[in-house]
Amino acid sequence: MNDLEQQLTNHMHADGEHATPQFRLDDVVSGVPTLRPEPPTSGRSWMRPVAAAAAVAAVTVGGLVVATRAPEERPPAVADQFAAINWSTENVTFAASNFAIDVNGQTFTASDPAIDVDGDPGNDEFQTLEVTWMENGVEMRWYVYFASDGTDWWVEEFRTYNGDPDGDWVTFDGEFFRTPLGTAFSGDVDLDAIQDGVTSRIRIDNMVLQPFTTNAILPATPLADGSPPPLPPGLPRTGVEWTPEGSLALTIAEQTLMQECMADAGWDYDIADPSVYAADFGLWSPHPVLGIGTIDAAESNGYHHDDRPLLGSEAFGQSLPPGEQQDFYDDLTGSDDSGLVPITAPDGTSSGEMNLGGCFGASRTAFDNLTVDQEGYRTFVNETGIDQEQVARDTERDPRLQEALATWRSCVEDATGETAETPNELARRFAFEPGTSNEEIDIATADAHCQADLGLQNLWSKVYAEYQRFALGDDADLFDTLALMRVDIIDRAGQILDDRGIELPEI
Amino acid sequence: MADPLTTFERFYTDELDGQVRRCFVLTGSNEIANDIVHDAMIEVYRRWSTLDNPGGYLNRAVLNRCRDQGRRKQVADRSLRMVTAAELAEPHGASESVEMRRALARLPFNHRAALVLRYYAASTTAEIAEALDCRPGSVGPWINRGLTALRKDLS
Repeated sequence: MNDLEQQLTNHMHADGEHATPQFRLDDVVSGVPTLRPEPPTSGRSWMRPVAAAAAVAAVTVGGLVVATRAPEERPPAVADQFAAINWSTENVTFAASNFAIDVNGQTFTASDPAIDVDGDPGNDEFQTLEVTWMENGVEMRWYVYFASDGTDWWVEEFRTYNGDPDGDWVTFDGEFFRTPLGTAFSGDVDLDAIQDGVTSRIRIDNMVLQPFTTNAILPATPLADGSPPPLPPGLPRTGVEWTPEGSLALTIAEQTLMQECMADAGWDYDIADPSVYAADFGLWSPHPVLGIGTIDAAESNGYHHDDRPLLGSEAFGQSLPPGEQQDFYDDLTGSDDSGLVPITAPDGTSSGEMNLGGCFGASRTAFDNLTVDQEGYRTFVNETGIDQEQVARDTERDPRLQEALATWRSCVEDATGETAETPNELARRFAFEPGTSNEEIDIATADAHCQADLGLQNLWSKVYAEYQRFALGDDADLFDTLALMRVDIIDRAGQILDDRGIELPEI
Repeated sequence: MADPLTTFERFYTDELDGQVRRCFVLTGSNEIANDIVHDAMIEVYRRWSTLDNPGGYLNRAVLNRCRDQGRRKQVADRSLRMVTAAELAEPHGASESVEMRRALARLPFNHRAALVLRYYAASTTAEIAEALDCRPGSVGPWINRGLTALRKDLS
């Protein structure tokens, strides 16, 4: 460990000492219904209130007026005109003409004007509505837990206090009101639960309920035929992502130009053969779905990914004595801030700065100012304009990918006897185990053949790119511009390599 | 079978301090670190019965939130600064430490996170790659680029 590494380690450990946890276990578990410990019982099953609530809900919900209107047909606050109750938050709309909780022989109607309406905005999968008020001399709470799978939303639990001065929770567990996202559930509610001998009942008349109102997600199938529009002609199959071969060309071209520039500054080192860089491209790395990248990688490494040695300027810089390293890095990246170039996204927002100083900058500018422009576009497209997690989920659910994955599962099971939902799941079984066995090599190789036969990697890239572009809506032209900039940059990289007679291996 | 709450409590006790501290080193804010780890703990708790590797899941959940926090702050501030002047003025540490925090805050998230995982959490390359959802081959270059930038910034 050199001086800087030691200084960094010491700093981090000293800095970490300033952090203090400010919440308790109860702050985590109290708001989450799924793992309630079984309470001491007198032979009564904890599941009983759950089952009772679910059974009543099934009957009651079956008799409800379930009005799942399309969003555009539903006035945003349809119940407001007649509702006595409106407990809406930024994320949840709740309105009703009548609300009552019967518990422990008391009735609570939430008529206290000082009622507190709050909730956890959560995320795309989870939100809450939390209502607290004083009534009958005790604090009363009514909490609703919403869930979503990106297509539908539903209530997975109601909770209410039991009316005791030291209020404890009564839970109504189940899956209630499953409704398409962006749509309200309308109807009456009548739920019963029996817990620890206490009967509880929630009654709501003319309820209009809709969570996820501010972060409703587009359905996974945005067009009538179930797919986003195809990429326009002329765009690479990967859209705005670098193709593997393009990425390799860019890496080698940059390294070559940096080496030449650094040689002019008096630093003489070699860069590795392109095949060394290429070897990294097929190895497994974590991914939502995909696994091993190439047959060559599977045959050589299985699912394992040895640490890549430092290459080129990084290896040479680290090999220098500390006294020379500073001079080396000054020449490599510039000795002051004069190389900092502002990056501006197409929407006019700043995306920070990019260092184009030293030989690193000189190599980058060989690709013209597209390097800076594409960084601004990349930031907008990949970090500002698109919900990448949603795009990945849409891609995973796309029928074309699902069909290909089904074929891959059969192929792998026939060839190896292994069953796995995705190539990534299969890879993870082996990737973190010590050593690479012959069995692992055989399975990885068969897996890679199955993927190659299906063109699974290219299919993922294509479908993912289509959903990325679709998610940009009216800004799709920015996606096209960025994709074409990257094609141009890769062409320039190819020209730089051609001029020097450098051939790239196939990957 | 062990009560799930009991097993979660053990996990929570084991992980809490380290996660909050690591997140603090990454974000520079005790309040933000607590919010992030609290929300990530809830996410783990909700999925407790289905997780094969809750520690790995928690790591990713915390790091993703740290990354998102940085992005939100970027959009809000229209700058890459992770630490505000007021936060830097907090009286914890000598000027050298403040300079180091400032330099760390300037790094791209993946470079900073890789450094924190390697030099604070003593994680292996494979562990860092899993936590940051990247190729193991990316970890070394990120660490080296981070160190290079720090060296330049601190000189």
